[in-house]
Amino acid sequence: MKTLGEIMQEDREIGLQFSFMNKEAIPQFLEDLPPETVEVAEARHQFVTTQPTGVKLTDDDVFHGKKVDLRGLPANLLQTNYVLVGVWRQERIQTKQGPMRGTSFWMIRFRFRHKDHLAEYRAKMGEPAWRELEANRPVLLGELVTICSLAFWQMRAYRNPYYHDHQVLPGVHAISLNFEGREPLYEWNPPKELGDDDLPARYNPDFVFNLI
Amino acid sequence: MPKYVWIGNGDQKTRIDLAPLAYKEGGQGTVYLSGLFPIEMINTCIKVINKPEDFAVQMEAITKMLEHPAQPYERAKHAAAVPLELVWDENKKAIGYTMEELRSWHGFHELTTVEGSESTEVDLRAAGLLLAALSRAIRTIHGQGFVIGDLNPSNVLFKHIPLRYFDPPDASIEHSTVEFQVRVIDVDSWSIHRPDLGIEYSSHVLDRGVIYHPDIIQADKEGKPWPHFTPDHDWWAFACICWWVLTKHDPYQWGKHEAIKNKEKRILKNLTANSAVAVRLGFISGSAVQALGPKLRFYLDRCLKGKEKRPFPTKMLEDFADNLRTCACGFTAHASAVICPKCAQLL
Repeated sequence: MKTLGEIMQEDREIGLQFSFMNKEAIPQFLEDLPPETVEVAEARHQFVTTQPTGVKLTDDDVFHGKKVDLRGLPANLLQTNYVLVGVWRQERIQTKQGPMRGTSFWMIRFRFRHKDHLAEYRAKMGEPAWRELEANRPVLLGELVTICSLAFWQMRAYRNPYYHDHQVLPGVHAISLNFEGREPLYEWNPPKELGDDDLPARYNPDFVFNLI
Repeated sequence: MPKYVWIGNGDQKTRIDLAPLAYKEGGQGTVYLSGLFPIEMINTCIKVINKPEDFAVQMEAITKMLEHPAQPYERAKHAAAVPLELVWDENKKAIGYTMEELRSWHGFHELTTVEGSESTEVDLRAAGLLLAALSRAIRTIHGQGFVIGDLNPSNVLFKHIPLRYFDPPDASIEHSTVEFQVRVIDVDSWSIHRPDLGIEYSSHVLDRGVIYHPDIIQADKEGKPWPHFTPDHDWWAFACICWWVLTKHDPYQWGKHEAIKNKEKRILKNLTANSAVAVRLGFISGSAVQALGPKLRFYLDRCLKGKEKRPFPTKMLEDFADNLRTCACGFTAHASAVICPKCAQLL
């Protein structure tokens, strides 16, 4: 078993970000953000490349191109001190240099916040929006399960600086788990001779990721 | 309508007086229920076609099938209410057939609502097992060269029979289980493809208000003749029925208030209830959809979008039924949902 790091009291948030190239694979019940414009995409790229970076928790030599099994992650998260406070889906434009530059992808972001820091977040969000989130939380978590259950993912993990009102809060961090390179787990079109049998899994994972 | 009919062949024919029999009128014919039949015909009913001259080709195909030594109907009799014997009028003209009487059975359409499921005592597990039984029944029917075509929830009946049994090694221990049986009805609207027996019959019966296949919508829009029904049509309809019965929501409609025209548009554009980005389905139905578990939910969606054109993997439904978890809040979901879609506790 390899440990990537330890979640600490200073980690105010855990963010999960999934990149989908295929919109058909995105589960249904997620909040929409307006599609990202080219200008906003460039600005985001600029911001990311000029701000202080965090600490990378995953070693590229180990994880690059590897399939990670996340099926245990939603249940793990539910047993931590972090609470789901927001989910967004946004169509974005690829800004990185390369053959995919300018193409669309879909970003799904789940944001979990430490229980000790919910009050300020709730106040900022406003009571009606918070109540709506509370009502929708079971279904939103269900979609996280869906995303983690139907595919293996490539993974990068960071401990980043935490920003409050565009300012870095010293001594406070946010864990960022980025998932891309989605590999559908099931053989959707198995040979017909399988007959009545259930769908077989296509792969074994290279790694199984858990929060413990 | 004839007053008397003859059942059977040659010297074995039995004359039945229809007048005292209870009956139910349907679109194509009248079904006379047993009660006053001879003892050997108990659990049998008689279907008399209203206008046999309008169904001449159909009756000819049924007659050929019944008289053929290969007995294709006989092989499908545990899957459907198949014709058992021909019914003749006084002029020796085939005007109908006998079939299994299913008076005490329920229709799958009752399972498409919460209320109907409660009144027939079919919970999510039972629903999954009934759908598995229907999946096997469809395979049996296709295996004999039939295509159902008008496969919709009202054309499938079910019965669940509580069984008690003793294990021989220890006869003092009583076990109980439930046996689920399904029968597809309206067999005279099936297509028959048995070139080996010299029988080919393509039906064009479809209740478009319930199940409306994308290629048939397209043909209707273009004023073209319908394509022939194939097993793929039945499996598409089966996926619709599965979604309906397991989630209690239409796989295409937001709500009952919506115009049918919008539904047709969505079927053509593959805008299923589960289509992210294009269609917003209210959160209110989210928990029912997530209760399927991710794999069954997305597989059914692929079937509805025509991406899976093959017999349904029945074991997926059996796995669904056998691995349900009931949360402390009372909500039931497949174990693969992991988190209760109603209250967000671990299942």
